[in-house]
Amino acid sequence: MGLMAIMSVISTLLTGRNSRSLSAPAVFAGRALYYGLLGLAVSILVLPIVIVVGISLNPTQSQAFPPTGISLRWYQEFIASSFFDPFFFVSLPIAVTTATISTILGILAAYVVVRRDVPFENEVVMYFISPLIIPPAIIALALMITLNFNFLSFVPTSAKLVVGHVVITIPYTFLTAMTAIESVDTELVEGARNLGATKFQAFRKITLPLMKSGVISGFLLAFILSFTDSLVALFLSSGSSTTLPVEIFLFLQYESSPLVAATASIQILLVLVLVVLIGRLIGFKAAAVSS
Amino acid sequence: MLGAITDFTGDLVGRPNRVSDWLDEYLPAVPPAAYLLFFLIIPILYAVYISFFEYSATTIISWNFTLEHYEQLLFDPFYQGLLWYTVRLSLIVSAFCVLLGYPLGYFIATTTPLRRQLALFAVFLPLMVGTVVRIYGWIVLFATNGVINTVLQDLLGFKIALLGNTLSVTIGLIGVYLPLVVLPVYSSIEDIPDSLVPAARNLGANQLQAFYKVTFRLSLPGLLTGTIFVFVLTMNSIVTPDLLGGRSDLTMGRLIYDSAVNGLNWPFASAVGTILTITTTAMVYIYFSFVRDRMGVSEWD
Repeated sequence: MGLMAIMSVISTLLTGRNSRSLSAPAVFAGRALYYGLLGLAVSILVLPIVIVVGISLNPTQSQAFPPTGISLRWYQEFIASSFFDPFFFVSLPIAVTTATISTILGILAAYVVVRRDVPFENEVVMYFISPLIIPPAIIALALMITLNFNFLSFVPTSAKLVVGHVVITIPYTFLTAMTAIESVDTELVEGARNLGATKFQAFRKITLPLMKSGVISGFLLAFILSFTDSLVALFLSSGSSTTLPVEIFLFLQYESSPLVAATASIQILLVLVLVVLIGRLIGFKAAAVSS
Repeated sequence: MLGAITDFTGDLVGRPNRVSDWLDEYLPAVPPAAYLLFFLIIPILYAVYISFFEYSATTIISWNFTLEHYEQLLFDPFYQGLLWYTVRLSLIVSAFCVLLGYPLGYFIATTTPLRRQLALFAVFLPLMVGTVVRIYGWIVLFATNGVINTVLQDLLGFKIALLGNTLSVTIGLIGVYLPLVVLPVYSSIEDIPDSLVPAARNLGANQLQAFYKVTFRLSLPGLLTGTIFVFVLTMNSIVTPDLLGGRSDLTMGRLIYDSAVNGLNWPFASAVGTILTITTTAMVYIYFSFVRDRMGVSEWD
């Protein structure tokens, strides 16, 4: 009510009496404000990434932007640096394992929710996307405490990281799989069943191939989220099983160098390729909505 | 054989009521449901449970019931200030995310397909690239010898402290969570039928009235979703305030991290998490009811 009153006062100020349009200066001011905010929003999103990539090309220790020259020196140093192992031997395998498990669990849950007559369907959907609603800091803390029981001491840290990452990625694989299964025509499945296929055969031979792009997108989303996660991993990482983002986080608390920029740029490149792939498969809109 | 037909006759007989029928129907969903039960629901309940017990330096938890963590958090002025700082920060960040995110979401929904693809990419890539990478970009930009200060030094001959204060934390958080407002706003504006705004204009509304009464009203569900996400995540943020903030920019999330990982005081950390979650949920509920009642989002499901 209050807001509406203010809006109507403003609009009477901006228009001539009985006019159906805003006055020309008002339209101009509105446009200027709109494009100004637009520019600010885009730059706040894109600027950090452009700067990181720019810094990584510096030939010297200086973190100057624009770079003082173009060199790939810091990319070479990355290979010998302490970021190499976390990148390829911790984060990468964890992300692949996470994405695989999470995709399977997501498809199973989505299949039942979409295809079977589930009582309390909204509540069930809520349950499967609850890791999205519960803040990651709380999930991470709870998992850290629980996975530290003595009888779980045989579980390696990397497995704990996978457990945590599967929890936070299930909503994404679940939602992409739900959209994908919904797009598969049930008559095709019924046709297969009438021709003698079991429920599982019908799913494997009809539903799964037809929902392929959704499944791959869910897998890639889960991979990216696991690879770039710095919050759950912050609580669960330890020793040699420290993921790349946590390694960068710990490094940045004390120093900063173009080496971080090069490492970050490689991560950006990896994510960029996967994001383009997701865009090709299901379009950014579908991916964006499920996130 | 003839699976679909038996399914059909099965429906005629009645809904499955035996355990085996039930399993046959819902078995695939059991592993994911059990997974979340064991690795999400039970851990969280356990964390809340241990927040009522004493901390012991040797065994971390000593099983004596106590409310001291909650008393400390609720009545110690230091922790009250911390919670207030976190709430204020989250409100400011959410407000700015709306101010910047709404126009961008509107732009993406109303522009040409090519520009839409580009803009969506510019929103989606930062969201996916990870917090730490983007925060590093802000650190380089704001540092004492950083990009902005170098330019200032060359042009005006002085430097200003940009890093390690609430302003840098706020800007960093806005950048990190902005996509979460843009995307749902875009999605709900795109769902508005194209004919509504011209219809409002024909009926005598000017551009501003048509925007407010049609577009803005109908995009409220998306805006609501986006702001709730930003608010909740800012309340719980750890990495951004830690890297961009100073010593005084202590959020509840940083307190959880410090007491759980560095201090190994799990009961206290759990109590912080519980208080934080209750506060967040209460504020989200107030906000949600306000928007629903005052702004007339009646067809909210």
